[in-house]
Amino acid sequence: MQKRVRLWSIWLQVAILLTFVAATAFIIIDVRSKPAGKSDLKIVVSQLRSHAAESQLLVEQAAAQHLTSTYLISHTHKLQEMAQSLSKQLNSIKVDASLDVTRTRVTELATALNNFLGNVPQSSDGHSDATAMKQSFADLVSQLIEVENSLKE
Amino acid sequence: MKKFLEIFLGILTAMGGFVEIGELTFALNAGAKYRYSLLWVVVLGTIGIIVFGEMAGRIAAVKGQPVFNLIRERAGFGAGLVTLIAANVVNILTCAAEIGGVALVWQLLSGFPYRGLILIALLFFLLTVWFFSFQAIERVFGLLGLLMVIFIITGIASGPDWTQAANGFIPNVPALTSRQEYFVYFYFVVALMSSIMLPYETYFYASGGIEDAWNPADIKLNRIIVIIGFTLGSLLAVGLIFVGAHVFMPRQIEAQLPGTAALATASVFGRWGLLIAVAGMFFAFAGAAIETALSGAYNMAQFCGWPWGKYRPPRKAARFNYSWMIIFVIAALIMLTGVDPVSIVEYSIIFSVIILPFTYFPVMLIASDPTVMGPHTNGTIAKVLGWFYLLVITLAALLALPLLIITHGGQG
Amino acid sequence: MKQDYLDFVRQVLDHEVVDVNNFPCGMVDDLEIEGSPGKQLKVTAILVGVGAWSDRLPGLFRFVAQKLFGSQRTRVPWEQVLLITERVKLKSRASELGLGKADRKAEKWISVLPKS
Repeated sequence: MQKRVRLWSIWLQVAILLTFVAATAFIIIDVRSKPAGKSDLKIVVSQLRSHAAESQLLVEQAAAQHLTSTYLISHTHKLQEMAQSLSKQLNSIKVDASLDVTRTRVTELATALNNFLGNVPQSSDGHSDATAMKQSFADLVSQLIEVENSLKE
Repeated sequence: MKKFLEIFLGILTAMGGFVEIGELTFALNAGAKYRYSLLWVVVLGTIGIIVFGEMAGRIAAVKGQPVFNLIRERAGFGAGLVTLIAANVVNILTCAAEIGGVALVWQLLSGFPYRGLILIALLFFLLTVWFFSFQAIERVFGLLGLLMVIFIITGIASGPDWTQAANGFIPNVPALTSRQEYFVYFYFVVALMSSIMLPYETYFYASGGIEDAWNPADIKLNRIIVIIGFTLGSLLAVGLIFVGAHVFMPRQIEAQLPGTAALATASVFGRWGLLIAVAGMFFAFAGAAIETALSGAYNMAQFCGWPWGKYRPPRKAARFNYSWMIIFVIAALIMLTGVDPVSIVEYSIIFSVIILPFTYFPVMLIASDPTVMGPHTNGTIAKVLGWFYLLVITLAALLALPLLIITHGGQG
Repeated sequence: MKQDYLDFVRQVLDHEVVDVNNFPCGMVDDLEIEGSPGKQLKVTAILVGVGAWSDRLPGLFRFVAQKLFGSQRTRVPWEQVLLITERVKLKSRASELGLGKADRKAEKWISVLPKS
């Protein structure tokens, strides 16, 4: 029984190692068959879309007085940090020349998201500000979804 | 009456301690991406943790032996050492993520700088675990973790389609548009199951049985606690999937922060919903941080034969106590580098599924051995389910790393 | 169930060692066996400590382990073994056998903290 347990353990470790090697080979082959950077760009766009949509919900809830001011400021700040990190990532992704225009557009949308987020804490004070802000985020989400769909295979 | 109270508290503690930051994130995003299609994974994972949790608890009650003693005895020194190192790396990463989660939650309430709150959280955990008994820690964080029930109520209040939800409990694969999307779906299957069956829960549960001085008369108590407690705990995961499906999916939001989860409860219950969710997350994450640190210390002490346990005066289990302190410190240092807690816990969940077979196989062998367990050996149901789950977790262990890489950590 | 033999690998090696007061004092990290090919083998001691388990590791890992943790080992004569169940119970206290030194050293440091 003891020997069987140890043999089984060894076989499992070998199996995991072989799977890892096979997966690595698969990745290398798979990555080579895709345009460079397309999947990375799509991931960034998806995350920006999610943050923009969340910001829209945040503004809605703030306008409805469902949030504390500390929560609003802290959470907005966190979303801004994440948006800024994604903007930096955009600059470092290597893409095919055919995706340069798309990357530029996404960078502009990321900058817009960051700017809108900077105004969120003030939006909870006035109803009209909140409505306009909500619409800004909604427009941003639509544009990001459009880019995201264009990057799907 | 006393026994009834013990059972009742044990069930509630098991329920309240079920969710941590990784499971919260994966469950919310499972609902946001796939609506009800991953509910069956919650059932699969819950039965799995019940099966092995019950076995580990039964072994602790009958033999007074915790999991890592068994791993070294049965799998041998080499495999045992590899499992110990892997398990404790996962424990440290998970602890780090939970400390980060606690700091994020405190920041939502206080607005104080994040890194300062990590240091305060570190001090909080060191003092809490040092000064409070095992039972006090278990009860406080487990019971107050029940504030997470707000997510179940939010999920139900947001109007589920009960027929479709019922279908989600049957294993299924939704119709997706590309091979890559199928990979992402299976990544979520593996990750969600792993987040429910995290090995530290078994290490902690069995060690806790010894801390509570369980004996064979407590086998029924063990069974009731794992079956009812973990089943009720899984309702929290179901509630989170509902929240993801009803609140986040229509808006195309994928939660990456604990604060995002609280937005969902705020949208249904207003400011009180927000505050209860934030408080619930604090107790859930804090409880998980303490469990992972203690679990790591239990693992080290049990593997190396050191005296261990919160029931001993600290000077009589010095190296055990140093171990959990060091784990908290390393975990806090990791978070001070600025790394995102949710990213860390995603990696720790995937790596923990790889070590699951090494953890559960020795437990299964011992629990099935009549020369060791006597009349308390595995019955037919436990044997069948045990072997079934060993197959399932071995398959998940083989797929975990490739899926993590292929899907860029579930991003697509 | 009465056994006619003792399975050292399954019942002794890598099992917890406790002293006469049931206090944990390490694991059976290795066994000392006397004898030679063709002659009778006899287990003469259990070995406890880093120096014992690190010898079971492959070359580079053994070197790293001993650099990090030292190579201390304690030899407990087989005659000191009282009982073998899930644990290996000894006839004497840990301190009398030279076991638990690291615990006693660690105890000094932690004793300065309140409620230790």
